[in-house]
Amino acid sequence: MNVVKAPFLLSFITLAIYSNASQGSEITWNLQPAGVSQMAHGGVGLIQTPTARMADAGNLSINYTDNDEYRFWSVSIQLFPWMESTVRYSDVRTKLYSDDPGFSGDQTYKDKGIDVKFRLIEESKYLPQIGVGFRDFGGTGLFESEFISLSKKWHDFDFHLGMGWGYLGQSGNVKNPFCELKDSFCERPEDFGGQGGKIDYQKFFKGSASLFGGIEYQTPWQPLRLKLEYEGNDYKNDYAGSLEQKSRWNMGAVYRLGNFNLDVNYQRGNTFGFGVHYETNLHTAQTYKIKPAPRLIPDNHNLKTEITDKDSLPRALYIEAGFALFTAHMEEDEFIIYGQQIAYRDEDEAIERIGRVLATEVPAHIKTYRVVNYDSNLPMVETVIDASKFIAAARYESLTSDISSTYVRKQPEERTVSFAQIPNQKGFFAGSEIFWLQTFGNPEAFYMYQAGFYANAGYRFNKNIAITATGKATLFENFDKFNYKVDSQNTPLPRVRTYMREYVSGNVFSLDSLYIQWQDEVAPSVYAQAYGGYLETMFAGVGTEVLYRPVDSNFAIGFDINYVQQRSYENDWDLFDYKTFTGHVNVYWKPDFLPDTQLTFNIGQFLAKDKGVNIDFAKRFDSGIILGAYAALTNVSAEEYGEGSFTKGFYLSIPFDVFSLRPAKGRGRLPWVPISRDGGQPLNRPSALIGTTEYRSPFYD
Amino acid sequence: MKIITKYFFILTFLFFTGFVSSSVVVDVNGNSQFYSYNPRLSEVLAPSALSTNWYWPATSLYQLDSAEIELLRQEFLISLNELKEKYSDFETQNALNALERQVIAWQLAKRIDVAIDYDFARVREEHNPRLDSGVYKLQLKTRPTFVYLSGVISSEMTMIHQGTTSVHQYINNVDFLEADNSKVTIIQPNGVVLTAGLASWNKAHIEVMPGSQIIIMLKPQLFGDDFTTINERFIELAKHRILP
Amino acid sequence: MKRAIFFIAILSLASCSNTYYAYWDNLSTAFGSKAHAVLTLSNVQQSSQDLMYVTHGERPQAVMALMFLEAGQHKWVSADKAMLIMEEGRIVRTLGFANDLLYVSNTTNDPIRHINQMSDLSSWLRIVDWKQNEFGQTFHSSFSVIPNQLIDVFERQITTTLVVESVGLQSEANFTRFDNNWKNYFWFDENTGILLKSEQRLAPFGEPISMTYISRVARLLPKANTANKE
Repeated sequence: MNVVKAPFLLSFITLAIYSNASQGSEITWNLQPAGVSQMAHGGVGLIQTPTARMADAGNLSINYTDNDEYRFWSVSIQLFPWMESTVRYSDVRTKLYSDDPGFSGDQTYKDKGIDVKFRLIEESKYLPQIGVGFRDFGGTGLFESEFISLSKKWHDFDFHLGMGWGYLGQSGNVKNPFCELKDSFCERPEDFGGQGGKIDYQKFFKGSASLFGGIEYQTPWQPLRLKLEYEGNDYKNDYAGSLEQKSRWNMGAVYRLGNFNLDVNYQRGNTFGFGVHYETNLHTAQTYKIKPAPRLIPDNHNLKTEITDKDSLPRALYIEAGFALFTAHMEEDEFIIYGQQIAYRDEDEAIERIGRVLATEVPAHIKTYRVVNYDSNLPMVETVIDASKFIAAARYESLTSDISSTYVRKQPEERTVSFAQIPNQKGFFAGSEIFWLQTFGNPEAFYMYQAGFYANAGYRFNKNIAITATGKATLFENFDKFNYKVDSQNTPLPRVRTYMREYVSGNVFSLDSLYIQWQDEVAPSVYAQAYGGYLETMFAGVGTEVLYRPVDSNFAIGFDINYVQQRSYENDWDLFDYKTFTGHVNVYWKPDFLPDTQLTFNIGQFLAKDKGVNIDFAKRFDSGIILGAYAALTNVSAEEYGEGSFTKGFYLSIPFDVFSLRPAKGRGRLPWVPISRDGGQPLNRPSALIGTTEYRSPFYD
Repeated sequence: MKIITKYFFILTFLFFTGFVSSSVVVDVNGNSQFYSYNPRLSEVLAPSALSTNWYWPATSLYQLDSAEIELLRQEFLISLNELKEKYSDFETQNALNALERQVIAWQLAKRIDVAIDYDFARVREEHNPRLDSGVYKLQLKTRPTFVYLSGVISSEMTMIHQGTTSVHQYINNVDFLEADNSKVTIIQPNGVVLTAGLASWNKAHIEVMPGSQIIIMLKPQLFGDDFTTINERFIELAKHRILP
Repeated sequence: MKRAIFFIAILSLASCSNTYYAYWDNLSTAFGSKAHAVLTLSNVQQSSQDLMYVTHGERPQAVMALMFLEAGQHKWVSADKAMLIMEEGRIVRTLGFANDLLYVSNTTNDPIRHINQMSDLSSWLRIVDWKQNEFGQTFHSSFSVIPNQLIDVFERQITTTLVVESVGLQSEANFTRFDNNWKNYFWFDENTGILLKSEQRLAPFGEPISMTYISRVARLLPKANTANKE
């Protein structure tokens, strides 16, 4: 083979090319149509009305629209090709947040809402695309409506026809077809169920209905699209007041600029509106990575009979494979390395890089490489690599080379682990972490934040036991604007979480946690931990957890049990009187029928002694970004719970790797909790075993 | 094919006599190259790579000593005959007969899914695999001048490739049988498969790589997926066609 | 044969601190040093392979090496194993880019090959194929020659003849476009007629690729004083 030797000075030319190749930038002469766009309320549609169209799977659109009386901030995500979900904050410019200026100043009224839309039928030759959607179905919604929409394309024109109930059907320009069938559908109930925040099924498709529709036209100039719609709302019963409507016809134009869609529109025959929409795709979001080229294994790759340079292997593993080596061990024809992967979150890439280093650093007579990956000082997975097959595949010795078929992941063997002599397992450790707390829609200010860092330090007694203290330091915040600390709602529940504002305001420095913790693998695939001390911001106590999690299994199950007492928010050390047992059976399941999805069920007793289940649904996109939603359903009634009726929330977990220019592990989590009160609240354990054992059957990474 | 049979014989002979442990025979545009070891792709390309300005995306490598594709063809024909018994209407029979005629006439061999480019092969390891022992056919082409139409049409057609022309313009005047007129499949000579919309609701501008196959598929059924399956199998076979 | 071999101390928070490191590293890579590759004259003169500076769009300046000179083509490669295939200074193929240039026809009639016969009447018609499924676009070029242009290389000024190529993409796009025309630039050494520098856009939608043939320049200049070697 003609071996090519690159000179010492070469540098990158195509670098970062892929991060530039976003949706907006052109790399071809002919262009695809600019595609669907968002409506004023967020979600794919015309101006005020939705269509049956869906964005590309994984699409995330962040929208701001101004419509005179209403301004909308929304985020719309195409969770599956057949499901779109939107969350929205609405700002009503004609109403104040409350009647009490001392409470909320001159802030205008804010409302939040959630929409969802499903595709029932995809467009085909004769059939239109058909979708059904629910807008603002959370109970107190100002724009609560249901709709069915049909879309059919003809060349550059996209025609839409829909029927709406609720807000979208206010004008009642058509008879509600369901009213013909059943009288109960003729009137829409006025009130909402519980304390808001619940899905009001009993209202769906009831009351007045309207037809709406319109046309979207892709102009011959690709970035520009024009919209015309006829809407079914008459604006007589709007929250902003009775708005004048000169015309049911609205028109608009959308212009695409890179990742942005900019739109202007003329609504109701008398109102100008505009919007700015930023789009990205959660499946394809990534940054081009600067990383060392995978090591080549030359033809006469290894003439070594023993390892001569003892430093070069750990250095190469660290730099080229992101593997922090704890120790290594050589048997007759096996070589075992023990350590932790700290950079490459793609397992196949990590193992390939490790294998390429071993193939050139380890003597040629070695037949098997074993890589034991640790987390929290416990062996998690043993990857057994068939050295000769690996080398052949990594050198492309066949037309059908497949590196991933040359190794297997399995439960670490007792024998393999017994060779490990990991030194220095005791000693002091320290670290820090930045935090950013934020809340939306508060009376004092719409956006409130607190930022700073957690500093932790501790002492590890052996591989299983450590003591850890975490202090919180606040650097900047606007929480000093709080004009109340505890809400005035009468609640029969113990206030296990609604003292939140008390805990987070006050001292610049505070003790977040101080606890001693023991962890071990007590039987194959069974992990256990016990902990005691100041466990989290609001509770102190003792607890234990057990988890059974086989390697690469779609199923894990365990339980935790804790006895805790509420901490005082007045100082770092005192405790309040409230004590309780809390604990759950925890079930984790990645069902085959929902791709890249993890369901979590925590069944048991929560902090307020309420019993029930917390259900968590997490969807992983190809980029590694995870979108989750959870709800806690317990035996606390909506009346007892208070505003929002039950605990629920959403979160976005973003791998650091999505943004970084070099490979990295680690994640950031952006929570969004519309309203959170005392029912269905779990203890925040210092660590959950599902996280510690993540590497055994990765969902997150 | 005769030349290949000869080499196949020699190769078999050498194997049986234990004369060689591995050996590779490659027919490169009619010239045979013999290796008593497993050469890398760049070595096989070297003798002819620079003789003219090859159009690398149209280069293809086939393995000749594999019965896999012939088996696929037989399976296809069997299931096609089952369909012919199941759907007896004239239009469907006509369409299925057209597919049958074409598949019987095709010259097929196991197409190796590997991107071939002499320059990239010498610079990037992953583009320069070793050939496993066996008998191969390597087709090097200059920029092809034709595209090939097959599928649910009365007879296969060879058309002159037209620059910057979207696929639907090729089939404007083609006589479709009971065919899906809302989309076609394009198999590029480099093995990439694309689907292109043709109808008013899904038409898109998709150009055709010189040397591509354009495949007209059976009209999908309202219920059942018999035709979808046979369409997929037809496309799978077409990927392994040896084209002039 | 049992022996424990080696060990690196890793805090239990290794992954966490690594994230911080990556975060910092990211900021400095993104905003701080746009690390242009820069070589000294003596670096270049000592190199056994021909080198050139290449700037692709907004990316930092890179160095590519001449890997093969065969069949009338110069084949340059970068550290990330992307390739530019050139004929007499004209990029006729790329490998490893987001949308590779697959094919350019009629290269033997490219007027750039015969700079001394170039006139305002010179023109060139060719068709071009792209990997992202575009085949047979028609490009037409006309040329103009501007003598006595100075270029700066290795802190020296060299007098060159500049050839400006006006390119038009004649094929209609499916959507209305306003960017059919653009210019490419070629700087030839005034004395020897050797191409020293060029800036080419392969298509209106492509980013300009600027190439400086530093090894050719180095051969025109006197041997660098090695005492000044950095």
